[in-house]
Amino acid sequence: MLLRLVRADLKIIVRNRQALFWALLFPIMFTVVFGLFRFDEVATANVAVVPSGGPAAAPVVAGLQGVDVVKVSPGIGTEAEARTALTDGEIDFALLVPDEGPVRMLFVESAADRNRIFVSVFRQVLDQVNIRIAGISPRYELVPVGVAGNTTTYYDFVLPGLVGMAVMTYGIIGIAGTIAQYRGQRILRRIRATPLSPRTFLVALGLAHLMLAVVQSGLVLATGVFLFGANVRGSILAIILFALLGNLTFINIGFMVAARAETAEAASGLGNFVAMPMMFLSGVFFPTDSLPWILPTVTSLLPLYPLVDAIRRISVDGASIMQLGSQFGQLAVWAVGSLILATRMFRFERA
Amino acid sequence: MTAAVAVEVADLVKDFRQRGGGTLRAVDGISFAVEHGEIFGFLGPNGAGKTTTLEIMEGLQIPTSGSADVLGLDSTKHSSEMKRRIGIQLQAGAYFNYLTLREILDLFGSFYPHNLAPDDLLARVGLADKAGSLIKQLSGGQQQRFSIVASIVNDPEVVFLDEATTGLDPHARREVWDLIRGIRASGKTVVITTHYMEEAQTLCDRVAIIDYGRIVELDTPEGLVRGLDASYRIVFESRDGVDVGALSGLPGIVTAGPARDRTGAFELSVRRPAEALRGLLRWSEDSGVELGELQVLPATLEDVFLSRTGRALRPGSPEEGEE
Repeated sequence: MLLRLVRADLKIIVRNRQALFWALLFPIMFTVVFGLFRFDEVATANVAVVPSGGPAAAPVVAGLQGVDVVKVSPGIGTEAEARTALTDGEIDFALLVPDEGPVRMLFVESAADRNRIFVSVFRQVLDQVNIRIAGISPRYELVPVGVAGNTTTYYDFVLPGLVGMAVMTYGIIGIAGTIAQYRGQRILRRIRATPLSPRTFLVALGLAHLMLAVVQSGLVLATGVFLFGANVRGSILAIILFALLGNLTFINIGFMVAARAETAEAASGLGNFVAMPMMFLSGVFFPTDSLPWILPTVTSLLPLYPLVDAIRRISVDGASIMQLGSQFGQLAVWAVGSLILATRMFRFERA
Repeated sequence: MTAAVAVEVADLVKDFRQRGGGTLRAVDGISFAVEHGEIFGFLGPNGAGKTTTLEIMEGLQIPTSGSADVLGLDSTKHSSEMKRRIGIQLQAGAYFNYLTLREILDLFGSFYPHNLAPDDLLARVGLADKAGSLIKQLSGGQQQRFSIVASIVNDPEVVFLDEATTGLDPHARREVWDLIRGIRASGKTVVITTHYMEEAQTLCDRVAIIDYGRIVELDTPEGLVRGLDASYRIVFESRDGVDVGALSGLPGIVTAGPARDRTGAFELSVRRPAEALRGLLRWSEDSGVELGELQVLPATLEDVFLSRTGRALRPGSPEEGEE
C-alpha cells in the first residue's frame, strides 16, 4: 500500500511539468549557468601596439603572439587613437613602442588586480624580446609542469551549495504546494473517507520527495562533473546520504508551510519566503564568515548551513562521514525537532 | 455483522462556529433510518444541511450531539471499520490530476482489504476506453460517472453520493441515474443528496425533505405527493382576461393563480381532477373564455416543498455555502 502510494506520488511528480521544473530543471539551470562563467580564469585581453607596423613594434607584436591570454588588436596608429579605444572599452591595454626610449603601457585605472597581472605579463614579454635581440641564449628558463593537486575553483565550491539548494527548495516548496493543492481539490478529504491512515499518505509523499532528492543531487553533481569538469573528491554516496538527512527537515518545513497556507498560491509564496533567505544565508553561493556582527553564528544555525557545509567538505576536502559528526548531529536534531513541530502544526484537513 | 437497517441516525445536531462569533446550527435534530437496499434521498436547497448530515454519516465530521450508525457501526467511534464497508463520492472532483483513471482506481482499491478490478469498474460505466486518460480529458458527465464508480471500488454495502448530478445536462444526468439504479440492483444501499426535485422523484425509493437543518417530510415520493391537500395541477393558457378569484370558488379546486413554470399561463391546484375539470369547462362555456394548452399534471415534490416550507425549491436560489 505504501509502495503503491509512493509510486503514484512519483508518477504525479514526473507528470506535473511545473513541479518537475522546480525539482530538476531549476537546480540544473543554476549548475549550468555557474558552469558557463569561468570565475577563476583570467579573461583574454585585447592589446594594441602603437604605432602598429613600425620597425620597433614588430618584435613586440611577435612576442605577444606567443602569449595565450593576449590578443593583438590591429589598426590603431597613434597614441590618441589608443586612448580613445581604451576609454571606449574596445581594447584593454595599449603598448606605446617608440623607436627610442622606454615602452609605455596604457591601461584603464579601474581594474587594479587585472592590471597588476598584465603588467607582469607584458614585462615578461618585453624581457624575452630583449634577450632575443641581444642574442643571448638564456641560462634559466621556466617550463611550467602541471601536477594534479588540490586546486579548488569557485565552481568546485559552489556545486555542493547547489546540491543543498536544490534539495531545500523542492523539499519546502514542493511539499507545501502539493499539500495545498490536494487540500483545494478535496483530495485530502477523499483520502480521509477511505480507511487509509492519513499518516501513511503523508509518509508516502515524504518518501517520494526523498527519492527525488537522490535524483536531484545526482543530476546536479553529474552536470557539474561531466559537463563542466568540477572536482568532487569525497564519496558521492556520502553526499547523497547527507542530502537525504537534510531533506527530512525541509520536508517537515514544507508541511509546516502547508499548515499555515490556505491556498496553493499562498503556499508557494510562503515557501519562497522561507526558502530564499535561507538560500543566501547558508553559504550556498559565498561563505558567510564575512557577515558582520553575530550573523555568521545565526546563519550557521539554519538547517541548510550544516548540509551545505557537510556536502562541501565531502566534495572539496574529501572528508568522510566520520569527520562530519557535528554536521550530522546538527541535521539530525533539526530533522527530529522539525518533525515534532510539523506534527503539532499540521492538520490533515480542516474540519 | 448485519444490522437491521443500513443507516440509523438519531437526534443529530451539528453546530459550526462562525467567523464573526456565534454558532450556526447546520443540522438541527435529525432522525431517520435507511433500509437495506433502498435509494434514500435528501432533497433540499443549498445550505439546508444535506452535505453536513451526509458527512457525519461518512465519518468525515463529528456531530455536536446525537449519533449516526452505519451498518450498526457508530460513524464517529468505529469510523475506520465503517469506512471499509462504505463508498463515498464527494461533491466535487477530488481525484488526482496526473493519474490515469485506471491508476486512480488501482490506488484507491489498494486502501481496502477487498477491492474490484479497475477495468471491470470502468467497463461498467462505459469508460473502458478511457482507462489510460486523465480526469481532465473527460467530459463533465464522464467525470461524474467516474467519481461514482470510484466510490464503489471497495464493493461497499452502503454508497453515499453527494450532489451526484449537479451541473450535468439532462442526458448525462439520466446516465448517472441508470448507474445509481445499477448500483442498487447489485444489492447495495444508496444514500444521495440532491437539490433536483425530479431526481428525488424518479430515482429515490424514499425522500427526506430537509430545510434549515430539519427534516420536514419523509416518505416515498408518491406518499409525499399523496399527502398534499391538492395532489394535481391543471395548467392552461388563455388569451382573454381570466378572473382567477372566480375559479377558486369552483368545487374541487383548492387554489388558483398564475402558473409558476409557464409565463402567461394559469394553474389550479386541485383535489379531485375530474370534478374540477367539469367545473372548469362549464365555467369556460358560460364565460366564453377559451382554454388553450390544457394540461392535468400530478403534483410533484416541488409542490410538496412549496406547501411545507412556503418557498420554491429552485437550484441556484439564494444560498449559504454548503459546509
